[in-house]
Parts: sequence; C-alpha cells; structure tokens
Amino acid sequence: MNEFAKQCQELRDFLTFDEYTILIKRIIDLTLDTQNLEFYHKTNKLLNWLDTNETNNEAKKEHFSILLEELISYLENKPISEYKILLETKNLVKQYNHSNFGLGPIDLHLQQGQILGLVGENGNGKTTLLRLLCGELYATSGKIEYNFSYTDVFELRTNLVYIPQRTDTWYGSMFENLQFTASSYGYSPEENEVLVELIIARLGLRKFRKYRWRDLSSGYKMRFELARMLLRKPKILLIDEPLANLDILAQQTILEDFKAIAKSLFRPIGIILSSQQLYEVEKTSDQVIFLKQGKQKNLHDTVSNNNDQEELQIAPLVVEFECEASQSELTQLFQELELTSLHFNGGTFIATFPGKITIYQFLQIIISNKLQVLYFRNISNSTRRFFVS
Amino acid sequence: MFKNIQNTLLIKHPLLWNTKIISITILALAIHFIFFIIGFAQGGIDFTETNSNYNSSIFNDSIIVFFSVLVSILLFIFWLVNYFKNNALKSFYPKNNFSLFKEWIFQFFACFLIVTFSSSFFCGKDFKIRSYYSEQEILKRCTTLSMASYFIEDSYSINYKTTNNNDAEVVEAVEGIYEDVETDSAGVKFIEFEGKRYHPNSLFANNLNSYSILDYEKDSLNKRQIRLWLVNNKKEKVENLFRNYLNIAKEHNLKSSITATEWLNLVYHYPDFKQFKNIGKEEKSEYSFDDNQKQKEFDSTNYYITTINNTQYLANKFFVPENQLKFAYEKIADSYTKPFLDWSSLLIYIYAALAISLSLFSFRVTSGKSWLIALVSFGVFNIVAGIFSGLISSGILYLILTISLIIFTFIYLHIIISGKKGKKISAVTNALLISLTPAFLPLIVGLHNAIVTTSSNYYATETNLRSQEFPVITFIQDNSLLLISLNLVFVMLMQLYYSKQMKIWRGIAED
Repeated sequence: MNEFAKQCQELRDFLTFDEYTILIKRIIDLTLDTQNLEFYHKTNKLLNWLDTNETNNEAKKEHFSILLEELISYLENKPISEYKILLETKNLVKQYNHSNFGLGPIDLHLQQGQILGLVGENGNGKTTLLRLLCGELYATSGKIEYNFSYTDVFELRTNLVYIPQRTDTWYGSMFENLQFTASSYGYSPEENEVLVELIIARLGLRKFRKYRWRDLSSGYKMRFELARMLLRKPKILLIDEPLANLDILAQQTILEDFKAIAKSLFRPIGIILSSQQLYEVEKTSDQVIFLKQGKQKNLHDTVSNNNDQEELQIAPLVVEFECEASQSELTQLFQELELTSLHFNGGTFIATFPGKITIYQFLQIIISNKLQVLYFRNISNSTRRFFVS
Repeated sequence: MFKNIQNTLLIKHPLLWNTKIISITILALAIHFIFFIIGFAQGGIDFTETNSNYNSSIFNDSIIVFFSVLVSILLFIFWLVNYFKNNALKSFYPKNNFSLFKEWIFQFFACFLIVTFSSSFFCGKDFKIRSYYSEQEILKRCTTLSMASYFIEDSYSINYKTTNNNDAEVVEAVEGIYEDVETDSAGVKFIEFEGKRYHPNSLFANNLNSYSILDYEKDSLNKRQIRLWLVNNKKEKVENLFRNYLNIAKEHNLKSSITATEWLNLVYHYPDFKQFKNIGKEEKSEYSFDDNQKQKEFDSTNYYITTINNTQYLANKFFVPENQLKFAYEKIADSYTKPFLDWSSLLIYIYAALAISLSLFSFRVTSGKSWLIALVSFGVFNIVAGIFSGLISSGILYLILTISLIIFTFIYLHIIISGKKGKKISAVTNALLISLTPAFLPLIVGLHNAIVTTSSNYYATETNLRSQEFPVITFIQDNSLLLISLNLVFVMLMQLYYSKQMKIWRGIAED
C-alpha cells in the first residue's frame, strides 16, 4: 500500500466514524491537490450545501462519500514526486555589531514535506535564524543554499514565506486581501474566487470572510496568514512562534494543519517553525533544533546515521516528574537505578539515569514505593532536557 | 458601479485594482467635467466691457483655483488611503521587471488627472469664448476691426498726435516712433507711399490696432491695403469697411454716434488726407475732466464737455465703440491664439504630476520613515550647500554639490545591490535618487551655463552678438520647451531602469 492509499484509507475511516470536521479539511486538501477547476467547484458546492444542511447526517455522509471517491479516483493516477532537499546551511553565523550575541554556527537541512522545529529560550536566536533563512538578514559567515531556481533575490523571497510573530496590519476585508494575493500569484479569474473560498474553509475562516484585520483575534490572524501562504505556494514556510497566543485546542489544530500542508503528497513544502511549546513542536516536527545562546543542539541528529543510532541507544534516561516526596527521599530510592543526578527544576524533578536503565524500571520504583506522582514524562529524546539548568 | 469594476479588476488585473486607477480616473474625469462646465458657464463675453471698465473675473478665477486645489487634496487623500491598503512589492508577491514601472505610470497618470482640475475650468472658459465664432469668422471680423481702427483715434501708433496743427511739434513727436517719417534735404518731414509724399500729420501717419490672431505680416498687408485705397481713392471700399465695422457693433448692440457715410465724410479727404475729424473710440472718457486750464484749451470741434452727477467728463462728438469691440474681440482672438492649455502650461502640470508621482513612487518602494528622513536630509543639504555657496558667492558650488548628491545616490544603489552587506542607508538615498532624477539634466545644463557665463565675457557681449559667440547657450534658451520635454523622456527611461533595480533592492536583506 503506497502513501496515497494509506491516506485514502484514513479518510474513509474518518467518514465511517463521522469525523466530518477533519474530513472536510482533508477533502479540501485533496481538492487543492487536483488543481482542477471542476473539483474546486464541486467541493465548494459541498461547502455551500453544508452551510444549510449541517445536521442532516445521512445526506452529509452520502455527499462526502461521493466527492471523496471522485477525488481519490482522480488523484490515484497522479504521480507523487519525490521529496527534494530545499535548503542547506553550512556554518551559518550571524554576529551583530552592536551586541555580544552571536548565532551559530548552524548546520541544517530541510527537505520537502519536512517540519523543522526551532526551540530555545527567549533571546537565543530563533527569530534571527528564521530571518537569516528567509533572506531578511545577511549571514556574517557561512552559507545558505536554496535548492530551487530563482532569477534574483526578490524572486527568491517570493518563494520563502516568513510569518513573523507580530504580523503586519492589513486593510480591507480578509476575502478581498486573499483574492488580491491569488490574482497577484497568477491564478486565473475563473479559479480566483472559488479557490479563495476553499482555502478560507480549509483554515476555518469561512464565517469571517468579510472581517477586517481589527475584527480578528490573534489566532484567526495567524490562520489568515496561513491562508495567504497557501495561495502563495511557497517552497519554504518560515513561521515565528505560531502557537503563541493560541489556546491548546487551536495549537493542536494549527500544528495538524502544518503537518497536512507540509506533507501533502502532491504539493509538499518545507516548514521551519519556532516555538516555546516543546512537546507540541516535537510531536509535529521531523527535526528539532534547540538553540542555547545562539548555539545549535539537534534533537534528532542521531536518526540520520547508524553510528549516531548507537549513540542514541546509550544515551542517558532522563525523566521529568512531579512528586510529593522530598529530593533526599527520592535520591535514596533511585540509588538502585544508579541515579546520575536529580535536579529540582521549576516545580518538577529531573532525574538522570545511565542509558541502560529503562523507563519501566523507573516506574517500578515509583509503584513499589507507592510514590504520589502527579505527572511524569520521559524526556530522553526531548529538547526539554536542554532546558535543565 | 465602482464596486463591480473593482471586483473585476481584483481578479483580472491586480495592479489596476491595487492602484485604484480606474475608479480614480472616472472620479477625476467627472470632476474635470464639472470644472469644465463651470468654466464654460463663466466664459461668456460682455461686449459692453472695456479695458478700463470691466467686471474682473480674477476674483472668481481665484476662488475656482482655490477650490480646485482643495478638491485635488481631498481626492488625493481619498485615493492614497485606498491605494496604500495593499503593497504587493512589500509583501514579496511576484513582480516582473516592468511591473513597478507600470505602477509608476498609473501613479503619474492619476496625479496628472488630479492636479489639472483648474485647467479644465480655464479650458471651459476658452471653449465658451471660442464658441462665439469660428476661427475663420473671428479672423474676418478682427481684420475688419483692425482695418477700421486706422481711422479711429489712438490706434496704437498715433499716441502723440496732437489736436493742433503745429507741424513742427507733430513731426517731432511722431518722428521718434514712426519709421515712415522721413526728412528731405531741405529738412521737410514727410511720409512717402507709392512714390507720393504725404504730410506727417495726415491719415498716412495712422496705424492699425492689432489682434493676436493677425500676425505682423497680416497687419502690414492690411495697412498697405488701406493706404492703397486712399491713394487710389477707393472711397467705396473704405465706406464698406466702416459699414462692416458698424454692423459688427450693431450686432452687439453697441452705440456709435455716426453712420458709415458720416464717418467717411469726417475722415476721408482725398488726395492729401490731411484734414480729418477725430473719431473717438468711446462716447466719453471714464475719468472726470475738471482741469480748468485744459478745459479752456480743448478742441471743441472734436470734443464737448458733459456733466453727469455734477462731474464733468470730456466726450467725443464723433465716436464708434472701438474700446468695447477691441476688448471683446481680443479675448476671442486670444482664445484661439493663446489658449490656456498650450504645451508650455501643460508642461507645468506634467512636471507637477511628475514631482508628486515620483515622491509617491519613492514612498511606495522604500518606506514612509525613509522618505521623511530623505526629505529632511535634503532640506539640511540645501541649507548647508546654500551657506557654503553664499560664503564663496558662487551658485556653481550649489549646482556641483546637488549633481554630486544625485550621482552618489545612483552609485550607492549599485554598491548596495552588489555588496551583500544589507541595505544600510540605501532606503533614504533611493528616495532621494528617485525624487531628484528630474532635476539632474536641468542641473547639468544650469552648471554648463553658469560656468560659461562666469568664465567668459558673456554679459559684456552685446545681446545681438551672443547667439554667434555662445551658440550652445543660445540653443538652450531658444529650445527650452524642447529640452524640458526631452527631460521628461529621460526621467521615464530612468524610471524604467529604476523599476528593475528597486525590485532587486527590495529583495536585499535589511542588515
């Protein structure tokens, strides 16, 4: 079963279990994959029908089923291109004249369909790195190679969409702005409106099409930026703190959207995002780079080659947990697991054990001693461990 | 309607939609039409007015110009507020190399439409005045009026004619202004025409009132024609001329005290034409006549004193409405020969639109902050350059500094584009470069002229010899309109070049 077949099966499951909220998003994704005006209209017709028939489950299932199968049969013969490397940096360094802070050296690569997460405390170079990669800043030394063609720096930057944490104000209605983006990017007059309708529906903005910038919450402003980005069809999306100011549900939704956008089989892009939300970013990203005072630490460095894989296997077990026991009691209890260190870090304990110790042995100690653990997490493979002071 | 147009443009022509050029064109044309109608309504001619007695339209014109400026400002604000809502360049939307140039052309066009409202008002006035008579008809009528003025007092070259017949005094007075007056070996003054001599105080000393529609050559031919009629005693031709003149006057309900035959009898005394009555160009003087001494001396054969509201005025016994006709027909003739909107006045509007559009363009491609810094910097530059120029008492220094500034900003742009070191202060210098480009060639020409005139004996050279000694300066002076027009082409070509460069510059990293 190829990747497309797997995705189709997943969509059919959504239909079976009446998961219409996610299903409609995925149907829109498939519709956009077709790049076919006829399908744009069909999906848009379904969206319009849904506006007045939201509660008619039986008919809804039928409509979704018909369109889904049509899309699948149209796309199943469409070739899936292989993911290509989009961006590579070598010894990338940025030094500011007026400050002691320096970023780098940074070595990274990004390919189509990948999400690269940048994590780190405030002021450690996440935004600087994003601005370097999007062409807003020049590197002091090192190289950035973009593996796609462009004639000049302006054209390069049309292929790199950078969404800063504080986005620029825009004027006029949201719909009008998106139509302007679409027409500027050469979409035909016939597909302009219907395409914008699909994209705002994809990002849950359908009710807000006439809203202006000042009428939208910061979460919806971010969605607007993503809608605009989808129309711009960038090679790389660079986005700074997209999860800031979003509630937990909105964070999950937007990360799921990133995943779907990046990993589209027919329109894959590369995404680099920065965030303070470690676990959410780690869950979504294919690579995570931790920046500490401008220096790079890779979370998944080891995944790429066999030698590093061995290193991973002998990496220490690091567990973050919250417990009512005191630090001395815990130190005593974990001695039999050859506890390397135990830190009290902002209300939680961070325990480090040799790599041979497993999480099950750790839990056995907890259970056998009936310790009241409120929360625990294995952070051996999380950048969280880099945050331990 | 605007909404539908804008919606269509939005999905078909995003640049046209963004610049709001169609809407602003429709709106501006509507306003132009209103101003034209106002001008047309105000453009009527009152044939009773004279040079010294007319209802000044300057006040009305000033109000209209004031309102046109006000409307222009309001429309500019309306346009810019809508235009500035989107900026594809700043959002890094795809642009081809000529896209910015196209955008600037739209800006220039909109600016031109917005700054020219007052011209529509004056064109409306011209159009109304022209609507009285066709160019051919006005040429015919002005010819009649001009030729008949030969027989009316104070046609432009007989200002010194006196009422007494003291030959010596008259000849002395007229000799200075008439080329026609000659002196023979015996010291006798005369005017010679077709081999015959006439007294310098005869009708042959008279001249014509001219109209702008009649050039010097036509005036000369008309004058010769009248003299030929006199020499050949073509009395009926002269009488017919008077009849035509008085018919024109009658058409406009203007009063005259004589008929064509009476006029002929008063002025036509063949063969020497020395004796003739004075035909006044109006019934009475506009000014009171209370100089007792002069009252005693005045010529009672041609004038009389009339009292109106206890004020005495000198009045003509014989008069035709020359002042009214001259005043009115000069206006009509001017509307054809000196229309308000000719190439030179159009150039003023074009340059005004150019200056505004270039400021707008520099603002769009750089930023408001950079644009403002550029403005302040240029102000400071002018003060400093002015002080230094003043200290050494040389305008050349100022010209050299300004030209150097433009060249520096031009080179700096290319250093920044090729340097990969960030934009540095190039946003400010680019704003200066774009705004100052129209001044570059005029400054070069000015510098050339300043150097030549100060380093040579230009001012010491007689005016009529300057064209031979300084052909370049003479060419520049004689072809200033052409050079100003060519400068427009230069600015457009530079804009074409800048458009591509500014697009690349925009993509350069900030720091």
